[in-house]
Amino acid sequence: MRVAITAAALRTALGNDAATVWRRIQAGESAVAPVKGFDASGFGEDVQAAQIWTEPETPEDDPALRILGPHGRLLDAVALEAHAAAGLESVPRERVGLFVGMGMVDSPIDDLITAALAARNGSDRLSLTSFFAGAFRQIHPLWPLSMLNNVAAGQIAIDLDLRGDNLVLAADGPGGIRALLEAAYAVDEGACRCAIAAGVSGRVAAAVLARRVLDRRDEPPGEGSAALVLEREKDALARGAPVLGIVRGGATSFGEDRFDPARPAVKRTMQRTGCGHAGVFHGTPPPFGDLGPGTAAAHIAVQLAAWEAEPANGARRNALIVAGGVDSGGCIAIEEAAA
Amino acid sequence: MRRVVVTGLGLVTPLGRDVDDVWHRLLAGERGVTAPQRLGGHVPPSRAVGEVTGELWEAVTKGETDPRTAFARAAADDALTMAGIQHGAHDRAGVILGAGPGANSITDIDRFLDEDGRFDAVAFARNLDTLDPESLIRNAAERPAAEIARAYGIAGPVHAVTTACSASNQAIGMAYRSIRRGETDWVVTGGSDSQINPLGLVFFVLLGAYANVDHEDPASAGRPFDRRRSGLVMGEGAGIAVLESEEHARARGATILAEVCGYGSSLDAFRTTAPPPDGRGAAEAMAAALGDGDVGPGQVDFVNAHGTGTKRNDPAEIRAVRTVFGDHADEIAVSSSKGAMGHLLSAAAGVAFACCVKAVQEGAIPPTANLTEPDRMCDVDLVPDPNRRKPVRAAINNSFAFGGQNACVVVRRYEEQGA
Repeated sequence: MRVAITAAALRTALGNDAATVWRRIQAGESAVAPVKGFDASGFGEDVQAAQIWTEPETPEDDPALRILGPHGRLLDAVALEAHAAAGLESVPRERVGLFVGMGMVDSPIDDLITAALAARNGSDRLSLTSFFAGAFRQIHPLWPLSMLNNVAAGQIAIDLDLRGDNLVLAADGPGGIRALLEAAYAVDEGACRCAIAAGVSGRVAAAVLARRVLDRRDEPPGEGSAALVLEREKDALARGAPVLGIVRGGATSFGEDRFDPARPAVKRTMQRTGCGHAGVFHGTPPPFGDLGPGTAAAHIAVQLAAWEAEPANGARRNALIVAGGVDSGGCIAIEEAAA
Repeated sequence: MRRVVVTGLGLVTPLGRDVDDVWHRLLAGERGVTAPQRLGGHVPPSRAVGEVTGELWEAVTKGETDPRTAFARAAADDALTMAGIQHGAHDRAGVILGAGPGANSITDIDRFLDEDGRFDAVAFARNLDTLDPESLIRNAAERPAAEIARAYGIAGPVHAVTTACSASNQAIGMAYRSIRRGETDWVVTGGSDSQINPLGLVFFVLLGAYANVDHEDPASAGRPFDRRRSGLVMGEGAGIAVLESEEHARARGATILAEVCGYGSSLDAFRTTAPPPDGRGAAEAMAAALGDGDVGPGQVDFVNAHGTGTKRNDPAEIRAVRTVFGDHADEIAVSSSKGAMGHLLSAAAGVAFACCVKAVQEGAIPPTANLTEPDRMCDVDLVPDPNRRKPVRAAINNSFAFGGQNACVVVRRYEEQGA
């Protein structure tokens, strides 16, 4: 596989462009800090995260923003930026795909609180009879859409008039890698001419921290998103698009190695692509936090910026971007663009 | 590219579990939609649902608190048994399932409100072990796929697709592509969903998409393509298939049920809750699936329609069928199982996929339940009761989601190369 990366965009607590994020990482900076916006002390005295939003969430008045939520807005921003940077306006919209990795969405609970209180009907606990009899109407009618993972992807399609092949994966880190791989395969196999591949991790809320506790994951979560534009290398060169890097392939795996869930995926990726150990960018918690399904695309964007900032003399470099989940792993191999 | 075949099917539906039994009940025009029964007498505003109940509920849930995971496990057990696959070290196999995103629990939120009616995050954090076992916090969308993989030693790609009502077809498409390119030898795929919980039961009511229900006859609430249709009826269950490379299936002597020969997806890029009236996105997905499989429109005898029974979906889908099939649309049987079972959401296309396999195997097409007065905007053969007997060379399985994701899969009769 030789699929070109022709644009990258990201939003993180450490910066909104890859070059800046790379510079700040090199300078030893970190966006990981004590959780703000709500009292997270119940999750531990020292619970930390890399946050973009530090104020409590309030429901939006604008219907589109209410549907999108913070995660949707982060996703929309990087998709629009990457689409523009790659100059995809000239590519037929039916041939542009969209592949997204997205974990549990951060739908607002304020509406639900109002409905729960209304359903108490004078007692101290919610009555299902009251809830069904009418208290549920306190929930905003657009709330259901805000909790569907695929709706944010649909909004990107509306904003960019994208009509092609598509997928939304419920994703942790390995799932985010899978979304990138599915996009690369779709391009490589001709299901679409170009694809936007993106991942997002939304607002750090109590529910997000709860899931991490239950999954026994202790790396600090981050808020952010990243998107790549992928197309066949020869197509990119033919239309004069900038080639930032090359996707060579990858793999995802499940449950073979209890101690390092990513190891089987790394091994398979090396076998499939011939990419070696050099430049392994293991999924250690980055200073912009664990972006879950957005981590791999963000790592790739930063790696490309690092290569650009520090040109090598000689052979093209490669990197293995790795993510491990609770019992699954993923790996994707990328190669430096030609000088 | 390798050929991809079907070697196993498993179902958990409001019409039962055994694949042949469910199929024959569908052919007979039976309906599994009732008044809600699992809520201890509480009456939700969605007064008709396709529930898994009684002995079947007891049999499939056995100690599993998440219905979505329980349905997926039970249906996968049946599909893998049919395929003749047992637990082992399956490093070239995967599990790719469509799954609902899960539901917040309104009772959990209620429990953690402080005296001022604000959410007490500290109390919540200190009582995670008491959270509603059905809530999404305790059941990630990936869980059904992970539990199947763990139970059978499957070590390849294990993922959950969350494109709502098109999720199962997208999962099947992803599995089909993985096998075709040689990444895997077989994949457990399809989907599972359940939203029979307090918030799930008001979900489509809030969106104004739920059917009006005659209290005396809840089974008639879902009426795909009927002039009197008023919205969808929610169902729950799982539809699971084992897809396999032809060479792998033949090498181990597996019985081949049908061939999967095309997959296509598209985006509406129109509105979040409504398709374009001309069915443009649906047509693009169907055309992509046929093109992918090199199947001519004239070779298709059955469209297993998305057919939700909502005002806007049904005519848009039929417009799309006419766009794609032209004059041949008058020769095709188009039916929807959502009148009989309700809309199984992320599992819907998985169950419909099994129906497509049975249709090409047996040359039979189930009726569209509750269709008595076809909408004049839906001017194709919609198979009102009774069922239709005719050879089915190829069938296309349609699914379209809120959000505008469309996905179609083409199934055809299996024939050996050169036979």
